[in-house]
Amino acid sequence: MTKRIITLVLALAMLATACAFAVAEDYKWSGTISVAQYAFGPIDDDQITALVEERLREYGYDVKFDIVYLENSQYETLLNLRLANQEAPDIFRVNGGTMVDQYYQQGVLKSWTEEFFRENAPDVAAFIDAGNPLQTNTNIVDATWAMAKRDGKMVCLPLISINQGSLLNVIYNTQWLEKLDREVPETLDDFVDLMYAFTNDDPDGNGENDTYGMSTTMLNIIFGAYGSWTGFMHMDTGFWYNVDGEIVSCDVMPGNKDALALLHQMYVDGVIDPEFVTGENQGGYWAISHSFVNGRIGVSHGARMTHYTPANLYGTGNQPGTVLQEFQAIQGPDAKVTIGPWIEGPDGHVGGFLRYTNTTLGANAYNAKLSDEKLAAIFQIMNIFATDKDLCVLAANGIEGKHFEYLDDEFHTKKTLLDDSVKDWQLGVTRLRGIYGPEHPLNEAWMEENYNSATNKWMKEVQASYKNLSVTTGYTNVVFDSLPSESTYMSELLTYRNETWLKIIQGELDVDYYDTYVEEWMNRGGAILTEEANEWYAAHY
Amino acid sequence: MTQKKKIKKTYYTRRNTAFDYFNIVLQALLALTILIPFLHLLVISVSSPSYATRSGLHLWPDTLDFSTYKRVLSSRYIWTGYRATLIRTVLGTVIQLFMTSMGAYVLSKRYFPHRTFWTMCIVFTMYFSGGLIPSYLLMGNLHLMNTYASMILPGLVGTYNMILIRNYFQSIPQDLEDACMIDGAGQFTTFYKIIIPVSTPILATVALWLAVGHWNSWFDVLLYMRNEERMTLQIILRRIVLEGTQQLLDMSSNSTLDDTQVVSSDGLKAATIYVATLPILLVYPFVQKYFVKGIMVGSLKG
Repeated sequence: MTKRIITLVLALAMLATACAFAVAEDYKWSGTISVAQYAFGPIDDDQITALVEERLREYGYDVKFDIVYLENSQYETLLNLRLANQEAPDIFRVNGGTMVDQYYQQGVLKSWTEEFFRENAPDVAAFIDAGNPLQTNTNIVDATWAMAKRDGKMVCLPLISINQGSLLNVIYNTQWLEKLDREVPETLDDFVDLMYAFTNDDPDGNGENDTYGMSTTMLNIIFGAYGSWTGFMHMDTGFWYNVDGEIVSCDVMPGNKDALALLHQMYVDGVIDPEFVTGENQGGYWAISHSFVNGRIGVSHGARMTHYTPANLYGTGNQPGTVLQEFQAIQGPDAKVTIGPWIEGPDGHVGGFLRYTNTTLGANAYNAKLSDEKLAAIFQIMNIFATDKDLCVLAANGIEGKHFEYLDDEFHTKKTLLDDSVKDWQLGVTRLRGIYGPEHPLNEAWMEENYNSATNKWMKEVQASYKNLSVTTGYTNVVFDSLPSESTYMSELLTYRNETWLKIIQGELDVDYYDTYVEEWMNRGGAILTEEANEWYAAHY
Repeated sequence: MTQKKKIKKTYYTRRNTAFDYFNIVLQALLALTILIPFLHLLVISVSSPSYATRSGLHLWPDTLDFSTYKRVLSSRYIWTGYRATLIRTVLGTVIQLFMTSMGAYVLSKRYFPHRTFWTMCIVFTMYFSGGLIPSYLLMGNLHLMNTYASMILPGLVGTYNMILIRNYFQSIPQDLEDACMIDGAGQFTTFYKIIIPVSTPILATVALWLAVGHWNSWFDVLLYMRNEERMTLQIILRRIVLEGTQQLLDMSSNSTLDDTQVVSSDGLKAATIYVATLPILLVYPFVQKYFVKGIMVGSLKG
């Protein structure tokens, strides 16, 4: 009897263990992954993550996500503290090559080989390899793999840019153009003429001389018309250009001198808003040009085309763009804007800011304490997103019918169903950034749907209507990653540049001072940076 | 019924000089430069959204629209923020005041052995600090992360405040204490029953400084708090006001959905600022009299 009982108990125990093992072995990997990527704020009521975790379990990954919110303005401080206290998340964001270098030297970044990555995330690797068909001037695929590596091993996963890039556009106040019966200018002479007209001919029809042609953001278009886009007073880019094989910084290109002369003349004639020094945006959302929406200036270059999307494009019933809403709130509900092309200068130079290079600004980095097994699982999960479009929609757009709805079948334009008081990221949408990719899911089909919408069709049409507004006309940086001495010299050089150019425009210094400025610029560290840029270029091309 | 007679002034009165008029005008202008931004914010918070976006100084609203206040007050985080801030301020002020005054009392006694040495030791800490990372590691090792203690304990006895209170205690005549001792009071009884009531001016001043300091501080909350329920009002306020001002990811994102989801209107931000700062604005005038008295009173007498 006892023997029977013992045998029965033993058998049951073995069965239980076998079951437990069977359940445990069902999953390829099991654990918690913590991530701290870019976000606008903390999660209020997470409606997405649990659903994503459930779907991943079906794929065989028993994962729990721990989403950490590190406030953006203090991001580096907070991350450094967590790293010092050994409690940094598994995946975190790095802001550029300098930060990657610093962390790599301190040994807090996990490194892995390219083969390891290709083995665990083959579809993501293929996505990176596909490159960007619009990037015709550089070998972006090699450069992307290169910028991710230190000493031959990968230490971060760069941001993979989207096809259309993020063009900032030239926007004109349509009402003013119509009042003065003018066309959108395409050459520099026409443009300058229009600016004088905007200033002197009372385009808003109120009988007062209170309008100006342009302000801060358009300064760079003038520079663009003379051969270089610098980001002066708008967003310093530190662009490097390939001039007949030599790599030259945007800040010392010869064309700048002519641009400065023209700007000085325009300033003296009152065509440039004297408040250009403080900028067009007066706080709040960065893309709003308060000078433009309030009818003080007639043209601006501070926002993307998508910020001015007209309402109900192609009958899809979409909302107008954010800044257009502000514009119409002040100028009237029927007020329109016109998108204009880049301005072509006398020597044929033309272009604006194009940024579709892949970059380490905002890239994914992985904690050195991760085991190879865990890192493999992280990459495999990223690969799942790369192949499962519906999962991407769930994680990056939300639940259809609850957070958003499709407005049409052709473009799959999405419209949010949430009211003003709640943002989708508070409900968990897009909070798995870092898991599905550094910024957006690296999934062809998802991108097709999100970036081939009605807005994009409209953008392409506008671009096609002008000779000089295609996505290939413009200035891009040929040196993708930050240079070793950049942190030492760059900020001082930029301050010097800004001071000198402001003084030239306002008349305190003569335009001929520009040559002295170039020499000084070289002496203050510019020569070293130029040398490094040339070396980087030679090594990567 | 007292008869009100016009009493001839027998004391010397100064005539208002030109300087006085100039002074009054200057002070008035200064006061205006401080008040006008507050008025501007108030007007924005009750205006219609399109009026609020318009550039320029708004000194009068176009309509009275309280929807922004409704939105702000219906947000859960404002209330949890208030709760966290109140807990922190009340607890922090009371405990800190208590500890600081006890320390000051000890140091004020001239018969305390090696008094100078201990005072110097404490004053020395005013000049140096460990730095951000060591403080963070210390909090971690003491397991004080995500607790109210991490906000109260680090600055528990502020040297400056302690010296101020010590100086005041020194000005209390020793005879008062001796009288207490003769009546049979011990050290603690003397402290609670006699010294504290006599020192109300300075204690009120220091309490006010501590309270305002706690109300306004946000950096330590940012570092040590993990739980959203315990984030103080200043953090919530900061988030709402600063959102959308950074270009970073916005520049690379191309999704039209992102664009419309990012920012609160200016009116909402103004309303949030008012909701968060109004209590402290209202409290300040009532404790101001102590503040004025206390500044002068903290100086060493004899």
